[in-house]
Amino acid sequence: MIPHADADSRAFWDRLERHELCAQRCDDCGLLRFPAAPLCPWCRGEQADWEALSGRGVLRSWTVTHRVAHPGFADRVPYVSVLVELADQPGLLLYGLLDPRTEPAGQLPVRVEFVDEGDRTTVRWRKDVR
Amino acid sequence: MTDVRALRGAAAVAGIGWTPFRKASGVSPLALAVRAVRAALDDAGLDPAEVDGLGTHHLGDTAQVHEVAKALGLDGVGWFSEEYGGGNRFPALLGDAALAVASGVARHVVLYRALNGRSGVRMGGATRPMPGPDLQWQQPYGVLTPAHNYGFAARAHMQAYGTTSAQLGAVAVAQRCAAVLNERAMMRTPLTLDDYLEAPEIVDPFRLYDYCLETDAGCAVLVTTTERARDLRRRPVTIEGWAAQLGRDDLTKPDLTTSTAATIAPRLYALAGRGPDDVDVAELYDAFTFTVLVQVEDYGFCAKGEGGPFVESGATALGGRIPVNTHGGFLSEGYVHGINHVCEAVSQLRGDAGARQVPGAETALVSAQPGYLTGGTSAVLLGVG
Ligand SMILES: [Zn+2]
Repeated sequence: MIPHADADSRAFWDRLERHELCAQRCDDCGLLRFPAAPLCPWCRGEQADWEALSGRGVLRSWTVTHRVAHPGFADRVPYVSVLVELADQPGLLLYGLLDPRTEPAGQLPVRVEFVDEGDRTTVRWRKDVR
Repeated sequence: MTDVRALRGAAAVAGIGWTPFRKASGVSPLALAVRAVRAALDDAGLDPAEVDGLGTHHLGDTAQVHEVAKALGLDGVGWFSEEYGGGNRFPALLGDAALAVASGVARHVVLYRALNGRSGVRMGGATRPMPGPDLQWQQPYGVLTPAHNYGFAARAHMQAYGTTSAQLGAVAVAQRCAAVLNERAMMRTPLTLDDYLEAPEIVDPFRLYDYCLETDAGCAVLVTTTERARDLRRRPVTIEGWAAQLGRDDLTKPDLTTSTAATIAPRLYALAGRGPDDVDVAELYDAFTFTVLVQVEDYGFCAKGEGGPFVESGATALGGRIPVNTHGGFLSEGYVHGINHVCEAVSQLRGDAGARQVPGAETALVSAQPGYLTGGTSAVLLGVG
């Protein structure tokens, strides 16, 4: 289970468990939105469908954590957290971890992998060699 | 009131107060709050019974306004504001207090912020409470502390403009030089660029001295009309203009290298009738070195992308073109979530800043957290009454 998941985002996390990276597509204006929201920020329409994304994007930024006092991460340092802009629509951003074999770089093309640990599924990004 | 510019200089800061800045205060946030409030009232020479307004902002880590009113025996508080919110709030709250006294809703408003930010709820902690539903998108990926959020922005700036670690270090070094001259500051040992670069990396691109200091402290300011302030003990420091903005958060911002400060700067300067060239001293929110670098650009002291070379040139040091964080800032004086920047600006405009005084300072800019994480920010321009 992902802590702090809510009624708006439940479908995102459920689909991620099935290894589908999804976002909501607005029924009214046809644009994608992320993070999960009850309303389209572009046209304010309320109806949307969850749609599988390409799983491709580019690195917008990253951090390398050397020290952190958190029970889930203290023993995983150093780790690279990334901010990825998805290829599916400009401005769709999400965080993730970077595969340790990938060297981070600005605008690096990346593709998604799914990581199952216990009862949670999260995304990890690696260099897109396509 | 038909023209918002009528507010220009209508209200003033008439008193400021601090508790000592400590790692472990040994007292409650309520004790810190009432000590700071009493210090601000003593500074102004105002009887506590005259206080009819109280305000603060917090993250569930402080004394609430009703507790402070009860502790001080205040029965006449008719204006109060208690906002849930962090570093983007204090200048906006100062503006709200200015509106309250200018309109006559209140006569004497005291604003405070008091927290045990080191010994109590740690501000930089990886398990701190955060507002809103954002945590679910961050926490699974180790994006756990403010350093992570600001680190993404700093990295993006480095990628876009070639900003370097040494330029971030120049911010830390300049502010430490000021703190050496400030008897309140927690960090008064001189810091060199080598010290900065040799310090451990915590969340790269940040090293140890990029971080502000988690602090136990309280600060308070008294706001009243400029006219009434003239009858009090100290020279009034006028509130010339302020601006606030709800902006895009980190996951919806089009570009991390520009902060919400760039959005409010034109409105702030227009309301105050002053521009960046008129600012003699700037106290810029410095949760991390990077926020200073981006704000000298976004408040118009240099061009976009030139913040790195600008701070490296010494322009923001004492004696530079625009001295920034003349008390050492949150990096070296201590972190009271924004309010201690206002106290320092008031000291500078009164000419009371001793060895770190900026000669002839008549206009000061004080900014809030420039709009990372949630997107919101605020700022105020202060003048000499
Ligand atoms: Zn829509």
